[in-house]
Amino acid sequence: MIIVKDLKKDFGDLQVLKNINCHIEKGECVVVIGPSGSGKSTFLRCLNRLEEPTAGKIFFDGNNIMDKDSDINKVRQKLSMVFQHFNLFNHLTVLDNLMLAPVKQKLMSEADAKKKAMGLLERVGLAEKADNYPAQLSGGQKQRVAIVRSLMMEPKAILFDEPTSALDPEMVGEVLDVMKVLAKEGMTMVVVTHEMGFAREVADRVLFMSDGYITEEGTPEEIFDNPQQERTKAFLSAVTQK
Amino acid sequence: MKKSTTRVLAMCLACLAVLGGMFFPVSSPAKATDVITVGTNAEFPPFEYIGNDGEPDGFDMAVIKAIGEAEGFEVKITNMEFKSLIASLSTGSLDAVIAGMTVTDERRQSVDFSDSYYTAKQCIVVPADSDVTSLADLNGKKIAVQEGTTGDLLCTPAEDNEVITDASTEVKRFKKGTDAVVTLNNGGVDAVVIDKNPAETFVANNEGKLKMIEDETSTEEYAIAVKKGDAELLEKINSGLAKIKEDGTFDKLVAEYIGGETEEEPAEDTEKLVVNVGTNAEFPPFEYMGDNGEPDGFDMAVIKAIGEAEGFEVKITNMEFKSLIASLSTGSLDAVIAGMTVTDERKQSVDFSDSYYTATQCIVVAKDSDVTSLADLNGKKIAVQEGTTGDLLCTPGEDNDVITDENTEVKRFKKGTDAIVSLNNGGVDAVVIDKNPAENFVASNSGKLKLMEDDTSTEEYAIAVKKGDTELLEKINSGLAKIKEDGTFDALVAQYIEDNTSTEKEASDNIVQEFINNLKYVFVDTNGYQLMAKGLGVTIGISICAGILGIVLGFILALMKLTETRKKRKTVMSRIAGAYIDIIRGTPSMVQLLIMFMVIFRSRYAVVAAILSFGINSGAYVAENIRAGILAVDVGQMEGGRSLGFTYGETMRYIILPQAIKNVIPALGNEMITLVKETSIVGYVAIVDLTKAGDFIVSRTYQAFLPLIAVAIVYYILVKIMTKILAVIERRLRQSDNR
Ligand SMILES: Nc1ncnc2c1ncn2[C@@H]1O[C@H](COP(=O)(O)OP(=O)(O)OP(=O)(O)O)[C@@H](O)[C@H]1O
Ligand SMILES: [Mg+2]
Repeated sequence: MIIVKDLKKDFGDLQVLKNINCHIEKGECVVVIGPSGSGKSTFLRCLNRLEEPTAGKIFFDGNNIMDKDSDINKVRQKLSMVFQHFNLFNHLTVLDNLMLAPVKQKLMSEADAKKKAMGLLERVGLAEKADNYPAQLSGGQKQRVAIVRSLMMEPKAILFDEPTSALDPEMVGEVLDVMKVLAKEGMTMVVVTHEMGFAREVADRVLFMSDGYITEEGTPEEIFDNPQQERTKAFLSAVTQK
Repeated sequence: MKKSTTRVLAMCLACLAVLGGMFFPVSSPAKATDVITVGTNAEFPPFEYIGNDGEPDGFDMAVIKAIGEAEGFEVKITNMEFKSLIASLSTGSLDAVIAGMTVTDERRQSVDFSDSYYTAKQCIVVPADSDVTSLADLNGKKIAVQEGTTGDLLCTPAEDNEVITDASTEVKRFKKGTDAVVTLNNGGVDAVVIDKNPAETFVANNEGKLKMIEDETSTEEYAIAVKKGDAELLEKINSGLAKIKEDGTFDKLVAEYIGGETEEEPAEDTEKLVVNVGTNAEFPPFEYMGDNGEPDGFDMAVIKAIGEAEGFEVKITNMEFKSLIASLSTGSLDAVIAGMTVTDERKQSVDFSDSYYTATQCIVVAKDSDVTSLADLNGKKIAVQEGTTGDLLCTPGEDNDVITDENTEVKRFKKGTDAIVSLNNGGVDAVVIDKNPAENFVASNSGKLKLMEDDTSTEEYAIAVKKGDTELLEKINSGLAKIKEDGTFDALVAQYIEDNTSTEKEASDNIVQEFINNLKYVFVDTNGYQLMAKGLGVTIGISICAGILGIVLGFILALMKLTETRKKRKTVMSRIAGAYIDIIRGTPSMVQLLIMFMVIFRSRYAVVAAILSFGINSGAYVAENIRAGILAVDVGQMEGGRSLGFTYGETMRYIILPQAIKNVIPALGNEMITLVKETSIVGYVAIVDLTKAGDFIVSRTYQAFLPLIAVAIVYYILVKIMTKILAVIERRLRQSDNR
């Protein structure tokens, strides 16, 4: 579904992504871990070109999205993203947040969008919040709405950038539960997270990033129970010590 | 017995004379009653003086002749020394003496006096609160008098003046009593000493402000003296005097010889000639409907002044211009004064008086202009004063034979000065305007402008009377000559034509009433409120247009500048917007306005220039407000939008701008309020906005406080309303912030 070839990204003199190659299969849930500043977010944001890659190729559903001909907006409709800080539209109600993109982009009629939105809200237990503004929701509720918002687009894959890092601990579970369900249903997901428990339980594959490279990858068992690289070991022992 | 016989005889004679002496030629046995010799001393004007023909003339001469006419005797005047008069009566070389002679007990010893024909009593007119009670109190003060009158003599310190002895007493001598009273009202003098009759009129006209003190010591009765015991002649004189008083002759003579004021006694009004004057009150400043609904204007003032000078009353009738001449012919009007131009055609139907006004149009052009006549102005740009003859001359129309080119552009200004400024700026090629102001303008722009008279347009205004009514025509011409001579005419020209904006305000001593009067004067009488309303409209109009332009420009500029944020580097658009904002914010809006108007628009389309200038200025500030408002929206909002497949523009439109507006509105509102207040400088480019209107009222009324405070209040209210509207909008926008 997503193929990354020789992806490079510089911020001025700073080489953040030096050379990234990876394949993400359809229906796969890939978790990306790594030390802070290693370029996880940058990698994820390059996948939908929120960050413009310096070099390399990215294929989504068989098309090189780095091609001049490809319409990145069309790509993004099917390659959603969920942010650490939710990025809900503050001036719109929950329902309007959900309906805005599909309706304005003429992917659905208003009625269909509303029906779909209410159905999804029901599934994440937020139906009664439909007419509230984001400012009136808790962090966990906001993130669930954000996930629903990306689902509204009926995406082929969803990118998660530390979806629970901004949440109070007691709210982390409710968001991870939604993500687990999505994974079980076969949604293609790339998740950057520090939730090792989630990675171990849900991930089909774990990528370890450090210094601009994917330095180690494997099943959760391989990475967590038997890491090969010193960097990986150091990182994992630091994380689990906490 | 002999006495009673002569009395009966005299009475019979009087009756006969009245009935018609022609059929009963006077054949009295009494000697020489048909010619009486009257002595005078022709050195006491206006009562007696040597006339132009070398013969004694004056009021007294006219009175005695009128008496003679009434009584059927002929009067032979002999001029001699005053002190010889009484002696001459006694010796019989004179039958009577009329010489402004005061009746005194001393003289009664030597002569018999007729009934008094004139009471000369001096009055002191002072402000109501003055403590002057007698002539003696005027010592050392400033006194206004009518030149050469008894009052003058009474007040002037001199050897034989026993009352006013203080040499520092200042006596101001005026030709006219009214001028003396005006000076008193203005505080220029402490008192006016004047004959009783006019004094009464003045005090009545200035009700409550002036009071009058009669100077009993100066009361003098003038009478005609006859030889002691000549009862026959005395009877005749008294009878004749009674007759001429009754038939109005006497009053006419008083009016003619002694002065305009004395004839205003209401008792005599019925005797006064009433002249029906027609006008068409649609030709300001010559004639227009005054505030009281009566025709007013220069012409009305002129004809009334002529009436006053000639002792006739003027009754004004307002009608259609084209009916005026017909009404003269039918006799329903005696005269017409209506800014009527003397034409040969009209001369067929009416007789015209001497011209009282010459209206010549002048062409004012730049010194180097090659315009030499009105015809040269075809297709050019001409500035005129709205509604004047110049306007008519220059406006292409069916009946305009000179300016035939439809492309000729006529700019109408309220003020001649503005027309000239436009000419100086090159906004127009010529100014066509009345000669008087034209001369002033050329003089004050020495070397830059030149003036050409348009002789074809010279118009003489005259008063029309019914054809053949030479009597009235002579009166009018004589009256016109008089008011021209005594300065009245020039004063009226100054009042009505050269400064037709001045209106007198009512005076009052009550502070509250005075304030109300003042308010009325400043805002109502001089049309201040209309000016202000128009000015407010202009201010609002310019503000709204400039505000809209500013917001549109500011929005575009903000987006141009934001390309820099998006692309993370300077772009051509962001550079242009940056330079624009930099320049506009770095220069005064006043200078921008002047550059826009004078340099870019070359002194034309002031309002457009103002709107553009303020819009462009405001755009720079609005751009920064909007940009800041957009940048204040969290970047996550843009990423959220983009990640859902929205384009940059769509994200802006659906997500960023709706949120930015909330941030921008307060700053934008402040910018709009600033804009409204900043438009107050448009007066510099000859736009009459609210501020300029206030300024105009100040220059019209010579009062600064009321107009300027009023202007400030109106601005304040305007800003207050805007603030309120802003608060409502902000509240609406805050809805999504509710937690
Ligand atoms: N817009 C940017 N401009 C310049 N440098 C950036 C930018 N975004 C990220 N970086 C730098 O790139 C490096 C990688 O950042 P990135 O956010 O991808 O790290 P991360 O792995 O996601 O870290 P964390 O776990 O803290 O989120 C960091 O050193 C960061 O300072
Ligand atoms: Mg990160």
